[in-house]
Amino acid sequence: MLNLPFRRVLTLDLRSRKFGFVVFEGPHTLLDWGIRTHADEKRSLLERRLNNLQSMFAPSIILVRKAVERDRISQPMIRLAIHNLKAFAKRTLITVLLIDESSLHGFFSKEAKINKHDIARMVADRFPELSWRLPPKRKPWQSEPARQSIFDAASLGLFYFAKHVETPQDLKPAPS
Amino acid sequence: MPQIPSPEVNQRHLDNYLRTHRRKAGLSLRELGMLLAYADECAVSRHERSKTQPPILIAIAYEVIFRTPVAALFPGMRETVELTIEQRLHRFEEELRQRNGKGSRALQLAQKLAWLNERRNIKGA
Repeated sequence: MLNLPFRRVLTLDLRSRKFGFVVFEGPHTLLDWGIRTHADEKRSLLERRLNNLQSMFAPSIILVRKAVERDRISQPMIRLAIHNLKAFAKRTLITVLLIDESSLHGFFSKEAKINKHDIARMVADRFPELSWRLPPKRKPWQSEPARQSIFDAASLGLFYFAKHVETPQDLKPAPS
Repeated sequence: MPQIPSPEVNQRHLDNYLRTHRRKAGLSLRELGMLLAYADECAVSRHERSKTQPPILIAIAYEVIFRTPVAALFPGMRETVELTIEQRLHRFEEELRQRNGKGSRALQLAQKLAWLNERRNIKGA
């Protein structure tokens, strides 16, 4: 198991027009988090956003959550964003790893069936600085709040560090 | 489940951790700027992005606000300064060792060398 202090990891929850991001330094420290838009007529916006994050935090790896977008409009936009992201990573020599929703979900729901809100709650319990942004549990007819994207990105970090540093027992959901 | 590669470990500190501390505190750039008696948020933003270095009074103010030592708030900067100073001290010591002196000059030289030696031992301890 690795236990090195300066592993900066940028995790992205890439959507068609925006992305949620979290920057980790090791498994216990969040350096920054937020939501940025990346869709405009110029394709370079995503690159500019990533450049800012890269120059500020110099991550060693970028983890990307591949969101499931089922409609025909957003699917090509995400594909384009991933393409641009990979091109950026190649230029800056950063490793990019795409993680699909099913692996992530499979990891978190090893013992009990849980949903995105439960995972977000787990993230908020672990990082109290994010707890004020935890969205309320939504009804099936309500749309997902934008800030959910931060928690989706943070869950990637938990997944990654659990693979390298911790045991999954540390990531059990808190009792409701 | 995908095989996750372990990345190259980035051993360098960030230049500063102001943004991290500010975000943890839930402060906006403007609020922090106001606490530091700046007219707007631009100066704080420049400090966070290491575009400019804060003056000593502002650096101390950051320490007071976040209750974190300046060296921990600006570890990258500290690292750079330390490296430069250690190199200069090393050169200085070499120069001293080549000097010759008599009487009080010799005593002064010995005192400087003893201080350098003591300093090195403290650092190594």
